[in-house]
Amino acid sequence: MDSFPSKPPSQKPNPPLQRNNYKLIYDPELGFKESLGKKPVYRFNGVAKPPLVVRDPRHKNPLYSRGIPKSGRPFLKSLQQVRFEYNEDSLGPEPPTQIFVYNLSPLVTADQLRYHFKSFGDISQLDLQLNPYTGTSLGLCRISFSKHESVSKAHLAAKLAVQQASGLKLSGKQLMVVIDDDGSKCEAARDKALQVIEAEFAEELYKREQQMKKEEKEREEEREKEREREREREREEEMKAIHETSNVPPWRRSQKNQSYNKQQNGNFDFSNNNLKTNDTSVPKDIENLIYIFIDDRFVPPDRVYYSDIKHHFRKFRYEGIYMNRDGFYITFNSYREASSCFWTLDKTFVQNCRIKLKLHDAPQSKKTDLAPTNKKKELPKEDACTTAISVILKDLEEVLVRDIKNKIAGPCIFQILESFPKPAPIKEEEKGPKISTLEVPESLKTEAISTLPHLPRFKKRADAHKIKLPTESKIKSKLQRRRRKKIEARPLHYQLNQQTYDSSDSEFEQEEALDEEKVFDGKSDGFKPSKVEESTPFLSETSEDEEYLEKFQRTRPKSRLPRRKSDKLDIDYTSSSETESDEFVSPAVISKPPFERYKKHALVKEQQDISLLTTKHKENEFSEDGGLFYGTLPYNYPEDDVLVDLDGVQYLLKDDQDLQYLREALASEDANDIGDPNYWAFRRKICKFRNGDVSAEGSPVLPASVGYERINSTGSARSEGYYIIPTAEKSQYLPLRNRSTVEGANQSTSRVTSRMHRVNNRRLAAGVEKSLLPAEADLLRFNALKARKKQLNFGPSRIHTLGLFAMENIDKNDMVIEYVGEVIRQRIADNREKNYVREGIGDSYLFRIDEDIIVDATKKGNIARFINHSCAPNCIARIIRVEGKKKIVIYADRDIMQGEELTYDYKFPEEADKIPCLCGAPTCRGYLN
Amino acid sequence: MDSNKTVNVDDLVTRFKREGHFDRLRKLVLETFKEKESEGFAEQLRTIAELELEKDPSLKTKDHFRTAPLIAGAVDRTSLYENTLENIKNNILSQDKLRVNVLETIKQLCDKETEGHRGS
Repeated sequence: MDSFPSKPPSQKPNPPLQRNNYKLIYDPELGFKESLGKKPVYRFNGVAKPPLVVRDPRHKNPLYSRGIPKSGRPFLKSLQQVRFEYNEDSLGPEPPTQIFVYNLSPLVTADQLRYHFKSFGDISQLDLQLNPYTGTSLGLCRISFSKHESVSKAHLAAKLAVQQASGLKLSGKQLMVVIDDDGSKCEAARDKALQVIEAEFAEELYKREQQMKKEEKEREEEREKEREREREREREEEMKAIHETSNVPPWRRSQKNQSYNKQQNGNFDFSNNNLKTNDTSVPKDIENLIYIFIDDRFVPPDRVYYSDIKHHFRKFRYEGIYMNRDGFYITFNSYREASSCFWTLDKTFVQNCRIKLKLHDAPQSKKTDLAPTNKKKELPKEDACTTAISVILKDLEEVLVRDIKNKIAGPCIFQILESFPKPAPIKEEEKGPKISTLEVPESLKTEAISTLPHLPRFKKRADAHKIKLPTESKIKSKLQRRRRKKIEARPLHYQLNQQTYDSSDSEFEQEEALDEEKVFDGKSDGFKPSKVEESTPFLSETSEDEEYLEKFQRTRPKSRLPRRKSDKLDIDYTSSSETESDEFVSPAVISKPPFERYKKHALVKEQQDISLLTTKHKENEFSEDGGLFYGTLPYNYPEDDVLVDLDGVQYLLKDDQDLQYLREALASEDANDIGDPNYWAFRRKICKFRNGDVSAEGSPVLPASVGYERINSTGSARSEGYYIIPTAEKSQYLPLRNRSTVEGANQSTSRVTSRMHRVNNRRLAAGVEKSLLPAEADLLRFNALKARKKQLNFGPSRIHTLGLFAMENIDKNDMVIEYVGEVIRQRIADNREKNYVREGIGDSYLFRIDEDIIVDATKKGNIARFINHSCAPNCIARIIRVEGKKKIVIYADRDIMQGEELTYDYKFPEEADKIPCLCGAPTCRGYLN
Repeated sequence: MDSNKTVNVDDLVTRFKREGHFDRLRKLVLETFKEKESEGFAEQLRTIAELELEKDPSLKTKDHFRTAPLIAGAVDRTSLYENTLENIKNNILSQDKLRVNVLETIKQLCDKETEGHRGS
């Protein structure tokens, strides 16, 4: 009604167009009426003779209250003011959502408050302010309503709470509620309350301290006398003890003293402390101890119990916890422990009560008195000396026993073991002497070696070398370098032993290398010797080597040298090198190789036959100790007699300037024809690589054959026309190709085959079963590995949509995975199948166990349902009985490699409408059914 | 008490060790032992080892690294070490020379210690 006030005049203070505020009520021109006359009748400013009644025009329609027909909009009885929810776009401060409740009874708990204020709105936070010392309520509470739903709602709740909850009586006190937006009111009230409390407490504390000081003074005097007497007695006792038994170890003595002290203290305690009733009551002489005191006001007796305190201090090594009505006393042995405890636990909470600790230190004199009882006594000089010596001797004995065990007995035992003749295999003999040389002191070493029955040949040579001709001990370093690779495969102690020889050799070598370098310096002008040394660390065959090698040669019949070698010998004597030899690729026209030859030239001039000997030696050496290298080297090594090989040159020549110098240096040399220089270089590098001198990465290696290079007769795959690429080949370059069709016979050599595995297992089982009890044997028979689910993963498959792939190698006959799904009857399965087809689930995940039981993995099942069909499967599905229930388990039908897709034969019955098979196996039947 | 006249035994011992006298002593004793008594000791060891090997002939065929600890254990079980230690005590440690040596060093240390006290 009044929702449509048609211009209420009162609201317009000064209507500007008042004059014109006329309404034509009667117009004779529209319809003439006798009674009203010819003049038009106006109504001025809403004033009429029958007073105007304003009506809501909508009410003329009787059906209006039903609302607009066929519209969901509800009928509004009155116009509503639009209200906007407070959000991030709103202007102005957020409406307050917090209230502050005060004048609460201290008995009111937070839960009670929450219960009462929950009725106004969701409470997000309720802070009942507690006294931090006692944990009791201060009677102040801050409640904030949850703004999660909307801020306005929280604000409303807060307003409602202020309106309705003020004056509410809780536990006998009328609580007061005010809006407290930022919590400042609460904060202020709390601070005020705390100040009051703390002032009270401080006052009390001061009083107590005063009292304590007084008491302490009295006690101090008393104690002083007591202590004086005690010390006197102690000293007498001490002196007596020392004089009587100067051989008694001091710790024992001190123990005695301690116990004596304790006894004394005990007596003292007992005499003074008759009040002592139980363990927890405070001892009388508490003032003499170091303790931490917790005032009783912090630990209200109804809330904090003895056990709580004990638990609170459990991490510290306190001596005891005592309590009386003043509070708790936690005593400590040492001041340090007490203070650390004090620092960590002060102002912490026990049962919601903040405890203030008070550290009490033992009186100064007492402390110094206590300290030495923990340590050794201070003694006069002479006594100290004697006791110190006895202590030292005792320690020495202990150490000596250890020394004798380790340094004398250990090696001795080995030595003894060595000396026993044994029917041992070669391997042990090899190990034995090595060990002994490692462990036995130097003087015994030769003896041990000499007692050996015999040694492996190469070892003997090294040893004999050392003993007989120390100068010859430098074995060809290159040789050793080549050996080293093999050596690394041997046990560690063996390696270690070898290393010692190596290092001793290399020291010599370095010296020699330096000597040699000096010689070189004179000849190869402008060459940096340091660099040469770097790149040719082992190329220092010198006269000693020569000697040795000559000797070596003498021992070997010359006829055993290959003919090629003798060729080489001739060549090497002529300084202009090996070009004529068809076996060796020669240095060349281009700048690098001549340099090599130049280098070599210098060397050869000095010692012409060395290179020959080295090559020959190498060959023989390998054939001799067959344990190191089987067969001859794949390639002969042209660099054997060259100082710097191609890599070395490449390493040395860093820029054009270097190259220029090299050219200058080699200008006098004749160039050799080496054909294509690139090919020449390649051959040298490959040589080096095959000899194992460089790692694979450094040398050029052809990409390994991948197995699917097809040589097209027309020269291009495009012009080949149509041809079928076999599946096996395809699978190698199509990543999604089913790998199950690959014949993996060649790969199986490297890894442990399932057969080996089986054999090993059987052997193990047989071995154990013999010796074990029947129960344990049973345990063993159940091989957990066999039943373990394998690591599998599903992914896009070449065969059909998704497939299951092995993420680890699976051995034949191992369980792969169980086919899990809902177990249903045939009837239901039929229905479901129809439903699935209608739903558009084209794939069938139904697995028949027998006539009436079917496993449906469509909606509920594991990843086994992704396994595809293949006509040449790598898995097989078996139905086994586990605890009387039939289960479908997929087993590996052959060894499956990591990454292969798992397949099994679905064995669908034949049907009229065929499902095409996409397995791609050579033996594919074409259809699943 | 007057700290100038007294010496803490513990401090003295640690000082003795820290300045390397202890290790020197240890080496010395070990050396003398090696020189004088190692033959007899080795002989005893040998008899024990032989006994042990007789008991279990399979030890002979085994790797030395395995047999050695076994024999060492057997030696531990005998009173060999105790006896040797007694021997050392009686023969080496009781030597007057050694005793006097140690005593002198300790006295020196003592003096140092007391000086240190005075300094502090």
